[in-house]
Amino acid sequence: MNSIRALLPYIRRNKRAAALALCFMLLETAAEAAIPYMTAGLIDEGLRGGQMDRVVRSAGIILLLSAGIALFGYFGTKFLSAFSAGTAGAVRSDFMRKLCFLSPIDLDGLSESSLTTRMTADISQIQQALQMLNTFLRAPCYIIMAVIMVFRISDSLSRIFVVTIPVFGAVVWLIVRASRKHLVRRARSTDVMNRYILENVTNIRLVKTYVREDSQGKGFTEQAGELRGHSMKADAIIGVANPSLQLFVNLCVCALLLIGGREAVGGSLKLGELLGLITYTNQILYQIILISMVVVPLLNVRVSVDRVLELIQRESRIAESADAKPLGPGGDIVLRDVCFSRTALSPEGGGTSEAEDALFRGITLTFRQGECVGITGATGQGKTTLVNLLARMYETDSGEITVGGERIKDVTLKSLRRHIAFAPQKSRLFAGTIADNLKYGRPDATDEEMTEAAKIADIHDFITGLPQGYETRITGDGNVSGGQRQRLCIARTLLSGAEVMVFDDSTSGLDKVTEERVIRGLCEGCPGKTRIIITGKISNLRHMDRIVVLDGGRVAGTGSHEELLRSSQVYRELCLSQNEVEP
Amino acid sequence: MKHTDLKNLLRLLRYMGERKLFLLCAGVCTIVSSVCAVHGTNLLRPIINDCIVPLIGDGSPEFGLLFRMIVTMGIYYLVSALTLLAETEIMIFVCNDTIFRLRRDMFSHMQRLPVSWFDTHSAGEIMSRYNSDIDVLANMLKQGLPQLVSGAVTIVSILISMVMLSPPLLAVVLICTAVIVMVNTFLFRRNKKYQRRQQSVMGDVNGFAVETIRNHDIMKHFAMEEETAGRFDALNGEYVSASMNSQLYAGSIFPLGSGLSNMGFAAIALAGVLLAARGMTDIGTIAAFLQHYKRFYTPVMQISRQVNNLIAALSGAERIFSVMDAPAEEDEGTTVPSGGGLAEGIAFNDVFFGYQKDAPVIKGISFELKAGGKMAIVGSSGAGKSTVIYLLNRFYEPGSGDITIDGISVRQIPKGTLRGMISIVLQDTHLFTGTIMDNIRFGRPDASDDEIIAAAKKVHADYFISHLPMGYKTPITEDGSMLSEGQKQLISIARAAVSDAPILIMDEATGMVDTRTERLIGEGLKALMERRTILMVAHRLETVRSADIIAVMKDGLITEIGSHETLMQEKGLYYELNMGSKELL
Repeated sequence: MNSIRALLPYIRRNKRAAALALCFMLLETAAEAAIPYMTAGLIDEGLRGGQMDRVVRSAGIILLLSAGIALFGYFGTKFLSAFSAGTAGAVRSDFMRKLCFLSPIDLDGLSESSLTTRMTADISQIQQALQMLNTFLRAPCYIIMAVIMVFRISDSLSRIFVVTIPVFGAVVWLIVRASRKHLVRRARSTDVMNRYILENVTNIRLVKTYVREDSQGKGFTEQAGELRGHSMKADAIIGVANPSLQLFVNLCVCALLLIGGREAVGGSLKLGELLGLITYTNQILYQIILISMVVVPLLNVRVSVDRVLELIQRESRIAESADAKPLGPGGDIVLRDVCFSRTALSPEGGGTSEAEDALFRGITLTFRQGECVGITGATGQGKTTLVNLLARMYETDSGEITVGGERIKDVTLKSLRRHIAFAPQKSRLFAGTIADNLKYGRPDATDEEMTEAAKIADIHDFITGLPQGYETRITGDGNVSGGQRQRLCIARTLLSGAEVMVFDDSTSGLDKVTEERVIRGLCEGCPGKTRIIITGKISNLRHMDRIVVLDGGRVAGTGSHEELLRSSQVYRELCLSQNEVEP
Repeated sequence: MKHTDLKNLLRLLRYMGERKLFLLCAGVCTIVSSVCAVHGTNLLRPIINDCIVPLIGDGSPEFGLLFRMIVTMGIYYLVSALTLLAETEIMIFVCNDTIFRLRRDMFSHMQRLPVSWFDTHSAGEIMSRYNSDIDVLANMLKQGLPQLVSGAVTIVSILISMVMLSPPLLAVVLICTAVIVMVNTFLFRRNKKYQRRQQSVMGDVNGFAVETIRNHDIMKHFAMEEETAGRFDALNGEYVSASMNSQLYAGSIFPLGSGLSNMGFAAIALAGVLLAARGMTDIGTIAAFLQHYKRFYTPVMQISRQVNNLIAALSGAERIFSVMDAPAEEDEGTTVPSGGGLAEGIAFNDVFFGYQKDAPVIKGISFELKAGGKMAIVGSSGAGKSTVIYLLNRFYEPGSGDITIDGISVRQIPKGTLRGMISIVLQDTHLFTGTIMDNIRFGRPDASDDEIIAAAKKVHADYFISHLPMGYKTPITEDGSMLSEGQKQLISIARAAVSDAPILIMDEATGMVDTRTERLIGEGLKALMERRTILMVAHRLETVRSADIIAVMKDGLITEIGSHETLMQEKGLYYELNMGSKELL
């Protein structure tokens, strides 16, 4: 029960609700257990031809007890809901918080869909399981109280219950166990079938091209057939439960009538009491079925708990030191002998040999304050990774990075990242208005600043051309084209007010003319800010103060376009392949 | 229940009706089970009244009759349980079988739907047809429907018994039941309101979560962790209180119902006692009534819930039937081009097309491509290039105009034959789970292993495949993470190669792959394109230059068409696109 123990801190945060829920549950159960006993008394009282007022008083007590069930049950449910919703809510909040504060590298091994499932479905399961905890605790309480009542009525007949309850419990347990194997197989079969359907649907053009509609259909029929088989077996076993419950209850009633009847004749049992015993039989065996219905989901919730806690218990590999200070303004960015290996990026992935895993083999580089620097090199040379190292998204293996003379390991992460703004390769926006998106990095930016940034990014005209302008609502991945999205991201970065701005191939989706305009805007229009622009196009690099060429894990050359044409073989080859031979 | 619900229910029943005999047996079993159960309980009356009460105080009581009557009761209950078991198992068989047939038929019809249907229905939507809609339906068929039927039979037979036993007590039962049903319905409706609110807030919470996960690195770069977590806490808080309310209303139905039902129980006992005091009834009747009441209460409670479930399930059924009723691809062609290969060529004649009626993407294009020739289509994005190639293999139908292969309109060629003549290399690589061998074999199912390896060798894919630890038997996982983008492209090129189709349509990928693999892909494509007629959308300069005909598209029209040299001399759009850049977007 490790998982339950791990949940305890969250349960403890809601312990008042839990305790109250438990109290009311016990009161409700006691009331419910007492009623058949009181009803038996009422019947016997009435049959004896006794005073009516006694009968009416009995009826009154039963009425009160019933009202008690409703009242205690209502409050019990109220506090139970507070407990389960509150506990799950605390887990959810911690999960999100951890998710936010972990670095991308810490989320290794967890795909987006896995994280989403954990956050949504798994936590949902936990909440439902906590809700079911009530039934799980209530049923045994009722059974115990009911057996006590039965004992009070007739200790000889209570022996029937001592025998039948465990036997019936065992039967239910066997059914649950036997069905488990098939339920697991059914779940697996369902996954396989779903994957088959999904692949077919996403690859439908391929399927039609190669005229495989029917053969895919045959494959599917097989999958669905297998699923039917497992499902039938599971259902068939579970289907035995209800009829056996009915039979069991009814046979117990028969046994009660036989034995109890004889006792009634003999005078050691009253008729009302006999009826009470029949009622208890119904109730107790029904509670056993209730337990069986919650046992399996409760057992299965362990998986969800583990999955959720796995993230919450992760520690970030990129830690802020205890005495980190905020980063001061301005300053050059200096990299000294920085080394970094690819396996640090993805522990499973990695290249085909040890040597290939090393991405940077000693990078020494300076980005001077206010400079406009272009970074280029062939694909896979680590340009994006380099700038990610500046913002401490990954840790260098060795070497040092400083900003304004301070080591990035010594400053607060927040100040470092607010110092360096990013426009990434894959432009992504948030659901909301265009203005919300542009002001994401600095919510208190003025509208003038916003339009200024949009103008440099050459997206202002597009925005004002929309019916609602800057207040137009956009979805995360919908209604704007790729090129427009990129320019919005550029504007967002410009608006953030950071001293250093990194643009990672963020003009790749623009046509030549627009790209030229935006690059010139970035290079000429942001004095005082350090701009680092990653691009593969020589036509862009021409506009920059300085170009850095990465090759083979090192800086292969740095200087202006003309200088590099003369001094760097790698750069020359790049120009050649793009027909950019003129200086 | 609306009219459409009834229609869907009948259609569903007709589906189940394939197993008429089984349904009939199940029906009979249900009736027998309910009737026997009620009758067994009715025996309580004579057992108590005739076998127990008269013997009280008897010095030497004779229990023979008691014993015999109890045995009879036991037999009734046994028969009831056995027939219930039979009915359950029969329904399990029928339902699982019906679900299987529904899935199978839905899938095979879906396969015949046009590509446009898949464009307008997201994968998530389609998946939920096969999953949640079918699951809800399955539950209804397995439990809901049988419970409704058996519940109805039970209620009727109990009511009949009660009427015969004691009308006054029946009146008490009916009053209590009415009160309980009214309270329950009220609570149920209140609950729906809170449930809807909970669902809606949950949607917001989940949407925020998904967005945060997807844009995680952006949030980190802008150091917005605290703000994001804070915004989420607000949403989470709303959800906690919404789900608290929803669970409260949903959960309190039980104790409230139980409280009321217990009051009813006591009321019947009290009424019975009062009536017995006046000699209007006896202990046996009271006993039978109390038992009946317990058995009566459950189906009454269940009926309203089951009717709701039924309606929900039927709306799922409607969505499933809408898939099965969607119009299939048109395929009335019967003319087969002779020889299997392409003899003369492909022609487009004044073709118009738009995804939507009033928004044409292709506004009248015409061209001729001789057999064995290579044609490249270039132009800025959104000009309609990819659409042209998909019109050839009839993924979409032109609004007007005609497309011919060897002079025969593609409309007249059976789709299987037409597509058999055309293989495709798409922009995004699509692979299936299975081995690499399986994936390549997808191009031609009857290809032998040797033919597959030969095809892979031809397109320069064999080298990397045979150097993998498991070679051609390497399994491809769901997300294809074991292979690089370039390697996946090579596999899909090999797949096209093995298919032997005379025509190849290609939508060239633009993604950045490392230069080594890029070169391999270039060579692989070159090998693939030998001796085939090619129609492609191209981006790489070298690919375009090697084409016999280049068509430049702008705003849905072909503005320039000719060989590379011809177009360069014209100094038009092609010339401009060409100058100084490697990629033509």
